[in-house]
Amino acid sequence: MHSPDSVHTLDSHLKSLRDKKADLLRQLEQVNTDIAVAETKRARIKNGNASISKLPTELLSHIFLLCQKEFHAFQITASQVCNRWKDLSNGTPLLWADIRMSLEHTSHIPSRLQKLETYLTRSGPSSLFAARIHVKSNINFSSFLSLIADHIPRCAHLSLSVQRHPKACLLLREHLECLRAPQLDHLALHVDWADSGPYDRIMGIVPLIFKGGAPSLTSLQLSGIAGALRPPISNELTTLHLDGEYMLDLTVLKYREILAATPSLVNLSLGGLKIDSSATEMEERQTLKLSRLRTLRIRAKGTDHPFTSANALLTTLPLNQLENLILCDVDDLWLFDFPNVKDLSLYGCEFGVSQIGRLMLAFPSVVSLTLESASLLYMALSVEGEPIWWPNLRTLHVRDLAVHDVSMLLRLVQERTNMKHPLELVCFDTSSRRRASSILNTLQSLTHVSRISNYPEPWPPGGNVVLTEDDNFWDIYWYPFR
Amino acid sequence: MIVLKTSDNETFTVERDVAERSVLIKNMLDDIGENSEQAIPLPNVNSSVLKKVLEYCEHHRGEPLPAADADTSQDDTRKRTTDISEWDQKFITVDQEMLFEIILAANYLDIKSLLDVGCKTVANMIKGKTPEEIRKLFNIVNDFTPEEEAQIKKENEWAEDR
Repeated sequence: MHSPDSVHTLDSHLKSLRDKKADLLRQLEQVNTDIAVAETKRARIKNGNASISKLPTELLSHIFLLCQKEFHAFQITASQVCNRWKDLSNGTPLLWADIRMSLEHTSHIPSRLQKLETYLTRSGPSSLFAARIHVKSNINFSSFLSLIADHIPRCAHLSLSVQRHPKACLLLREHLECLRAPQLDHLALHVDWADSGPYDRIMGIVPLIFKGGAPSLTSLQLSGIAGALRPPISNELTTLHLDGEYMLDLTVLKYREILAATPSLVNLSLGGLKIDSSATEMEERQTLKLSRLRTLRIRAKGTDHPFTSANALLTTLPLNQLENLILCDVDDLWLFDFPNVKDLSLYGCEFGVSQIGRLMLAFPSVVSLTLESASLLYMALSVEGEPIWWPNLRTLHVRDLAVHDVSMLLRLVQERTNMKHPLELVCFDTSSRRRASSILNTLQSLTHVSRISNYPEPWPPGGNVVLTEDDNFWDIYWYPFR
Repeated sequence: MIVLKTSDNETFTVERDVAERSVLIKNMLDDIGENSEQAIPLPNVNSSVLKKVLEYCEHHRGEPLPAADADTSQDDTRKRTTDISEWDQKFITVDQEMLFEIILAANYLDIKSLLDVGCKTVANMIKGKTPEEIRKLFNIVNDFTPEEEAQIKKENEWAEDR
């Protein structure tokens, strides 16, 4: 038997040993910390001596911006390279001024919200920013709108697209209603039609969002049911895209009121809009004064209503000023003249025989023509004799060429050459080129043959492709453009 | 003819229009007058770098100079960073040390087009690389503190959503 004294002595000894161990562990921890600090210091000295460290901050920051132009999340990569790059990346507001995100699932919300907050903080406090947010399901995106709203005075470009969300319009209106966006230059809103959601189905010029104003707005795109949100229409607006596919008919007065509020308009796109008015009523009204209007893209609404055709919309516009015209699903043109249209695109326009002569007279200045399934036009443009139709025609873009049109296309190119008004360039999308494979060699002996993208040309023409938003204009077409 | 004197005391005699590709030199010449024969000191540029810079200026002599207040941000949005002419690409194919020296000299001498070529070249070298590959490329090391590493890890949670 050991005495209680010896146990007591051992306890005391054990305590002393344990204290000593704890002290050593503390010391070890401190040494590890010291080593980490010294290693970091050493690494930073080494990095300071690297060749690239000779570049001053402003030049390295400029290089980062160049990298970001090609890879929009480059700033994330840069901030993981080393301490200097991290500080520089996080401290360069422009690197964080292009915000793009899609929300597909509720589980994404916390991390995406943190991302948005980080971008908004780092792009601030004075740089302008662009935000493109794509909501792809029925999730609550209120927090994202709140954050954007907090920073709206710096927002120059806002694109919000919401799919399959019955309360999208309500949420957007709730968060954007009272805002003033002094720097907002481009606004694109797309809200999918969702079966159960309440929304106002009428467009108008009395704003329901941004009621504080958006005086710098030059470009506005409203598609799906977003027209119901009625952002303010500024005098400065130069580009306007309105999609009325899921909206109620516009009255003549409303239609004229909207366009009259945009006196600086250069580019106008109307998709699926319907005017609730008789043709006579439209004709009786004066052409609107839109002295800068040069580009028009119009898609008629596909119903049997007699006044739903594009004609009712065209009646109001100064057509003789137009230089670029895209017509979709228009089967019948009234007695309009387009004397200055140089670029003409016809998609799904099935003009009948009785229309063709009228069409030839209406477009005397066409230089570049894009045709999607239009047999009769191939025939009309290859008619020999005087006058030569569309004598300035030089470029033909062929889309979705029908097999039975192949020989007519060849004839067109041959006849134009014989008439001394040759086509200089014929371009095909992928399917058309495949269908035209049997005549390609002959075509190449007569003119230059090239390819075009399967997706229709960016709109408005001549715009910055990088900044061009998908405005859903082509969504209703059955064939896969992408 | 204009005489330029480098940091290592070498002198280069060049034609005025070649030297005036540099806004700095042009301004100096404007200040000292037409007939001055004194050498223009360039204390921030050594002779090997100036030789390269002058080769560039000689090749591009006569081309219009970019406007001083040109807003490059719009241009840069449209152009891709890979847009470097063939001659310029060949010219700028040098070791990293020289590349950064040329960029610094172009910045100091205010030769915007050369600065663009240099910066675009570096951007092209970086493009598509991971942080580790960038470190290797420029001979730099991971110098983050454990706290910074933790922060990066946290940011990675949302950074994946590009």
